[in-house]
Amino acid sequence: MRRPVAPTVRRLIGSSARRLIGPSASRPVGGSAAWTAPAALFLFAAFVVPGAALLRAASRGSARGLLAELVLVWTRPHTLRAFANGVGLSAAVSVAAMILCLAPARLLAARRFRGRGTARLLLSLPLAFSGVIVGFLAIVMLGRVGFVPAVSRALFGRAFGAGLAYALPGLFLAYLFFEIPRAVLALEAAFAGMDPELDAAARSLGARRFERFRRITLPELRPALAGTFATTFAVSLGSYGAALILSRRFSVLPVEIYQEFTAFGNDAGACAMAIWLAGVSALVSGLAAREAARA
Amino acid sequence: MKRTALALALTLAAAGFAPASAQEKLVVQYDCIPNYANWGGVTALYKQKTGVTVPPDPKGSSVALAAIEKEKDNPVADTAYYSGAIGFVAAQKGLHQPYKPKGWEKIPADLKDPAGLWWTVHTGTIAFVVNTSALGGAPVPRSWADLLKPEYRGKVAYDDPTWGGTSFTLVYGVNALFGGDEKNFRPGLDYFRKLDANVLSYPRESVYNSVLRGEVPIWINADGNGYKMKYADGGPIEIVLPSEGTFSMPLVMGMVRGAPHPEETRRYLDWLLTPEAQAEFSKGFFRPIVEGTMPADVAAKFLGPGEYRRSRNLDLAKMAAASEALKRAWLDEIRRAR
Amino acid sequence: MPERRSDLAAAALLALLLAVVVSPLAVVVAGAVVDPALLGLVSESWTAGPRPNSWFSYVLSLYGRQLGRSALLASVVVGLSVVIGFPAAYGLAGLRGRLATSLRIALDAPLAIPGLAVAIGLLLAYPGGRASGATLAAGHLLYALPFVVRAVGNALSRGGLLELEEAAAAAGADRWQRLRRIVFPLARPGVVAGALMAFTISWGEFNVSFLLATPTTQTFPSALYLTYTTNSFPVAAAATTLFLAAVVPALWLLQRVAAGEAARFGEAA
Repeated sequence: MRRPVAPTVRRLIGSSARRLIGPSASRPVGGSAAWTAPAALFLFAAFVVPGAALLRAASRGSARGLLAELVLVWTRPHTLRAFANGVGLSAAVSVAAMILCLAPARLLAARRFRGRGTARLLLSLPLAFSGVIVGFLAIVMLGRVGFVPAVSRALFGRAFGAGLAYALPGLFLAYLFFEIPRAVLALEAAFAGMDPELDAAARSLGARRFERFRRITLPELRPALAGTFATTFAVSLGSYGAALILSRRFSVLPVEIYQEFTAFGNDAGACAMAIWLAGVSALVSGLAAREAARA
Repeated sequence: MKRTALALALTLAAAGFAPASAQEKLVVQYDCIPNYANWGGVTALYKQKTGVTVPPDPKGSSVALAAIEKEKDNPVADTAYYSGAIGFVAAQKGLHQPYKPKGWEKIPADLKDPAGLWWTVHTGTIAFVVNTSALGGAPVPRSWADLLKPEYRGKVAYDDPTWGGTSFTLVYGVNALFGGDEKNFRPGLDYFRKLDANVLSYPRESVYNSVLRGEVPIWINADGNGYKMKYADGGPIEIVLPSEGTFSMPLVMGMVRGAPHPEETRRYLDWLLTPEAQAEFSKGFFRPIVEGTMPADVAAKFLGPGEYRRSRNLDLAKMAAASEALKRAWLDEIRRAR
Repeated sequence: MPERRSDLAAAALLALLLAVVVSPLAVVVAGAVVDPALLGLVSESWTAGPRPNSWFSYVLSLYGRQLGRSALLASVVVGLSVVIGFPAAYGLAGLRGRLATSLRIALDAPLAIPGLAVAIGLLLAYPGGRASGATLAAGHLLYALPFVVRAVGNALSRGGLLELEEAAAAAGADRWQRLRRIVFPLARPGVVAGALMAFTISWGEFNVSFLLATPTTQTFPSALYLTYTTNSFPVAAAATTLFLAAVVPALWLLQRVAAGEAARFGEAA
């Protein structure tokens, strides 16, 4: 995809017009801050106030107040373990998704072929499914009497993959299922925004493919890779459905939050963990945004 | 294309909300799982008879309890269905309002609260529900001890007892059976630690259909759900009352304090004790609390009274007192064990 | 020649990804229409009423209410996200400096926060908002709004909003004329793309809904959960197929009208 020229030209005309007419403050164009008021009000009511409610609920957990409760969370070994599980699994899935999706994303961005739109459409379907349903799909495919073992028994006489859904590889595949569209779509957008001429120039200079990838593609992709990692990582870290359905022992932080909140009505404990979860997700996203802005 | 989609969406929306806007009659029951105790059939029959909708709700007893407690100031539920001990806790916590539905006198005195804060609608018994075609050649287990054998590795499931009341009864009962009591959970926890090696999953959702499909070969749950699989759904199911003994479980209801639809709720709770509703429960093979309402052909399908002699009753007050601590202990030592 | 070989490898990888994504969905959709004996027994023994003649009508008879509710909720979310999101995008287009940056960050912030945390926060902040479904809609809107704002903002800047407006203003056009003649037409593709994304997000949203919904405000994804836990496989399969029947056209349209926005949609939480 080539960058359209018209807007650039218009921008040039616009800026010279601005110089001619004077500062735009005298003739305000584009909306003013007032236009963003409805959105700002909504965000305050539906995001800031609930955030404050989380903090308040967490602070009610112990007489020692919010900070004590936030620290106290980590003295329970299972919380720490669940958090580590989530970070490990999310990071592994995110890296795997990026590696698997890199070449297909480039193909979708750079080549025109029949079925390209269909492929992209099919790959984006998991975006609509919640983790819980993904968990059930994993059981349908890789349960003890799942589709894959049933077919493989019919073909090879051996039930390959039976019960895999309940083990770590099954959970990994379930997470991969809903990270594939996120990785493919984000990377495709990055490839589409890349300058093809740089690569062509390097090729004409005789640079080898790997060298071109390392020296040109990778640096150009860096912000997109960081962004993709942040998205897939944050989504995985916050997902509770698949682990809730599939795992017997292996727990992640959202499952612990869900458990405390819904089964025990322990608001303070749940909220303290939720604050950490939200904080870590926001931190990762923020770092990625900074990385993207640097480029 | 877009216009068609919009028209379709609007039609669907109208279909979904038209009855609601026309003052649809509703009773909200927490823990109304369609394939547990035939609630699907019971609520469908009630709708057919009266036009009142009782929507399905997937919460287990403990989740229902926690939700009602959370919503104390803004109640959503009118009534809730629990396994006995958890309903007892809800009443103790002041979450129920007293109501004695019509037919109250037909409920045995030890299976209801004298003030009307809870009462039993039917009873069940903890049993192994075994899909005989999914055992992979292993024999049908006959005892709690059998379940620990290595041939059942990855074949046993029981619900997470912090979620569902049936499983809480199971965990409390096994502990009592092996010599524990409401203060000492050690014998029960030791058993479940050993059983953990054979457990496929601790579901927080109904796995009724998974058992029928053979996905879950052995489910420790209420006997009635197994009978229904066998006789109503025609599955290759065997119901086993373990030889060391088992436990009967009253399933109770109560009216939520501040229920948003009080009149409808009272009518519904009255109806649940009528012979018609009680017979409908027994089609799900839960034993109706009102005597003489179980059809003879249904009664004939249960295992013989000799088998049920091994079932004991548990003290609801003691169970209730132990509930929070036992659920925590199970969670820490079994689900969260390394 | 090496290009061709790397393309082939990429195509093979693409096929693998498609297999991972499509095979479970294909099995489920097939399960709704063919004899599911391969997947075990069929069990439906709800006693009242006659057995309907297809699993689809059976699902509609059980969960038609939830389907309608999801459609309504999605329409409300689409409407509100455009009504709030379009002015926000237009406002941001005219803003520079720290205020604009913080507003942009604030609008995107919900995407970085797991739905579970948002749901618990909403539940605690507005305990009375559940019965009406207001907090439910707010939860959906939080995740839909960033996409509408971004899509509209992109459309405006692609069209060269500021320059055109400036030129029009210089020619003496007042605010309303500029809105009608310049801003609305420029924004239209962004609004369409944003609306489609908002619809898809609301239609599939589960994490927030599961905690916030009551039995009377339950949405179709919650019904989907019910079918997987309390109905037999063909029923769950039919419900999943109905669920997809709304998602596929929306995503397809999104591809047609705004492939670029579709690519960015990957950031949906």
